[in-house]
Parts: sequence; structure tokens; C-alpha cells
Amino acid sequence: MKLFLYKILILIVTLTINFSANAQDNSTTNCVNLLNEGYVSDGQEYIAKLAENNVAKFYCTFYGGSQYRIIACSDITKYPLILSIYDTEKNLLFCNKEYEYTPYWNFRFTSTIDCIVEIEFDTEKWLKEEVKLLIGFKEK
Amino acid sequence: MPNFKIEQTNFMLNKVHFNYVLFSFLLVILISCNNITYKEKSNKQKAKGTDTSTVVLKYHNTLFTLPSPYQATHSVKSSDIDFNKRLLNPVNNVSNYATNFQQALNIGVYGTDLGYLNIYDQIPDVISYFTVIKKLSKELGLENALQVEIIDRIENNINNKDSLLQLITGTYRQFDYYLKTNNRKEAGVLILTGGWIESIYILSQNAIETNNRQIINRLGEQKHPLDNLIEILSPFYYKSKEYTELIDSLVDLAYEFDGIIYSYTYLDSNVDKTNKITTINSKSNVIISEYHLKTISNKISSIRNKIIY
Repeated sequence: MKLFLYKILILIVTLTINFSANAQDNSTTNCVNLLNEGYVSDGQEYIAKLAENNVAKFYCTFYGGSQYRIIACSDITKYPLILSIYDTEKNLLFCNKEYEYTPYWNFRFTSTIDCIVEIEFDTEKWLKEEVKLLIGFKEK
Repeated sequence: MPNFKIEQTNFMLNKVHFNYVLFSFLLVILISCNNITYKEKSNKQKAKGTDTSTVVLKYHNTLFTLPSPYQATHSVKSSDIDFNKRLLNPVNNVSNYATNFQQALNIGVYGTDLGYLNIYDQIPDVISYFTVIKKLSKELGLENALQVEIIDRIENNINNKDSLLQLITGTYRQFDYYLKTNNRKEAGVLILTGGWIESIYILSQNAIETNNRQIINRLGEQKHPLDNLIEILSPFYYKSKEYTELIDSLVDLAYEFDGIIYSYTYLDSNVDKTNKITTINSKSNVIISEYHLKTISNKISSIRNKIIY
């Protein structure tokens, strides 16, 4: 019995550590704290309300020769936040589904490109919440 | 012995059952804790949603963004072009800006100038431009957006170029957030507009004077940001004559940008999962004629002159 309780304790500790490691706080209040490691804000806070399909779109231009950090934030915790980036021809350049739904990712652009950044929640129910996007660029 | 075996088996089964129940119980507690956290967050969000509902209703699900004016002016320095103070809006002009429309636009203009000065380490001018921005911010009623400690930190970091850049861009982000959440979105849009116009003015003047290919290309790449800016401003078109004239002049400028040839080729990206970096290899190319370069440059000067005088 003692051994079993010990195992359970280890399981709980492991689960807790694992949960903490994977879950980065991308709440709207903590969003700016993900803009670090030499990335400078572009001076804007992009806040959009989710459409009926639970998608918000942001039209952006990224300069060639620059490195950016794109951060997606929301206070919705029931569903994972999907961050996707497309070019204007709708080619998918990135999706965080492949990277454990990370709320931010870094991008190096070799040419200047116009992109569509999408923040989405995969659910039938209209969440009617606002989401936030922050863009930082790397100092040279 | 068989009876004992049965009893032992029952005991083992009971033990397994007990363990299973205990495990399930702990699991339920763990999930419940998680749900409680979610519900708390959800309630918090509801409360927050009530506070900002008037603002939220004004946002759409599609937003148009502009690249940082700092980045546009930085390309001038990275092309080894010398600093040119004549390109900046003189600080003495600040007394000319009596209306909120002019004040907001020129907070943007001076902000871009401040970034340009910072890139070229023009410390004494950085101080005077920052003072002018503080003055305009006060006149525009933005003193609440500028946290006292931020002002102190900027003043204490005047000699540290990198820290100063972080603080300046952080201040503009705070301005933006404050204006959006205090029902003053139009002031935020004007600051953004002034900043963008000043950055492409600096780009265009340098493009004409130096004929530097990198600068000309960066100017040509402003077609989509200009379209985005017009989208951002368009809800205010009928707000006043000043808005109408400003937006009309930007639309007129956009027609000239339509003459620029822009090509794009999609290429696969490379991913460095360890460092969380994706390299976007897709290529774009800009072809801009001398005629368009001059016309665009003249039109930008004309728009800017109406803002700064």
C-alpha cells in the first residue's frame, strides 16, 4: 500500500512538472513577457475579436533580412490556441499544431513578404472572445 | 489451502480494486483542480470582458498591421547612409500643433524621428525629441498612459542605445494599448499614421539622394503597408475634413504604388525546432521605375508637409 501511494505521488509530481513545462502562460496579461530575448516590440498591441468560426486574422508585412517573434495570446484555456501563418497565396508557412501548440515562434525572412497570421480555436461553439497578437523584431 | 488461495485472490482483487479506486479518486481531484483553475480564469475573463465590452465591440476579426517605422529607418543606417538631420521634423514646430488631430499625428512623426536619432547615436537630440513627445502626450491627455517609471527609465538610459530602443518601443506599445482600451482608438491610429508617413519620408528622401537599391526596394515594399493603413483609417473618413483630406491623399499615393511591379515565389521553409526558428525562404522582388520613385517621393513630401506645418 505504501509502495502504491509512493507511486501515485511520483505520478502526480511528474504530471504537475510535465504540465507546467508544456503550458506557457499566454494569457493576454502575460503576453508581453513572451517578448524577450532581444526582441523589440513593433509598438502595437493587436487585439481582435474572434469571428463566428473562431478565427481572427491579421494582415502583416515582414521585412526581408529581419528576424521576428510572433506571439499569440488569449484567456481561453479550454481549447488549444492554433497559430497559423500563410502567405497571400494561402500557402501555409507555419502552424503551431506541429509544435505542441506553442504560443510563440521565431521567423527569419529572407525576402519581404506579406502574410496572413491566423489565431483560431477548433470548436463548434462561438467563443466570442478577444485574442491578442504581438510582433517583435530582433535587434541587429 | 484452496480456501486460503481464494481468500488471497480476493484480497489481491480487493487491493487492486482499492488501488484503482484510489487512483481514480486522485485523478478526479487532479482534473477538478484543473477545472477550478479554468473556471476561475473564465470568471475573471467574464469580469474583464464586462469592463472592456465597449472597446471589444469596435474591433473586427480582421486587423491590418504596419511594420515598425524603426525598422524602415534602420535600413537606412544598415545601407551605410550618413545621418541627415534636415530630414527630421524640427522640435520648434511643436508649438504649431494645437488640435488633437495634429498632436496625435506628430507624436507619431517625432517617435519615428526619435528612433532615427537613436540609431545614429544623436544623444543630445534624443533628449530634446523625447521632451517634445512628452509635451504633446500631455496636451493630448496621454499622461496616464506614460508611466512615471518608464519616463525615469528612459531618462536614465539616454546613453544606452539598445535599452533606449526597448523603452521607446515599449512606450509606444503602452500608448497603443491605453488608447485602444480607453475608447480613444482614433488617436492611436493617428500616431501610427504619423509614424509610418515619417518613416517612408526618410526612406524616400534617402532613396532619391543616394539611389541606393536596398532603400529603393524598401520603399517599394510599402505598397501593402499603405493599403493596410488606408484600411485602418477608413472608418474615420467622414469624421472630419482633416481625416477626409488625409485619407484621400493616401489613396492618391496608393495609386502611384500600383505602378510598382511586385513578384512573389513560394519556396519551402526550413525549421530549426531546437531554437524555435523557421526560415521563410519564399522570394519577393520589387521593380520601381525612376518616374514612380520621383512621383511617390514628391507625394509623400506633400502629405508630410501638411502634417508637420
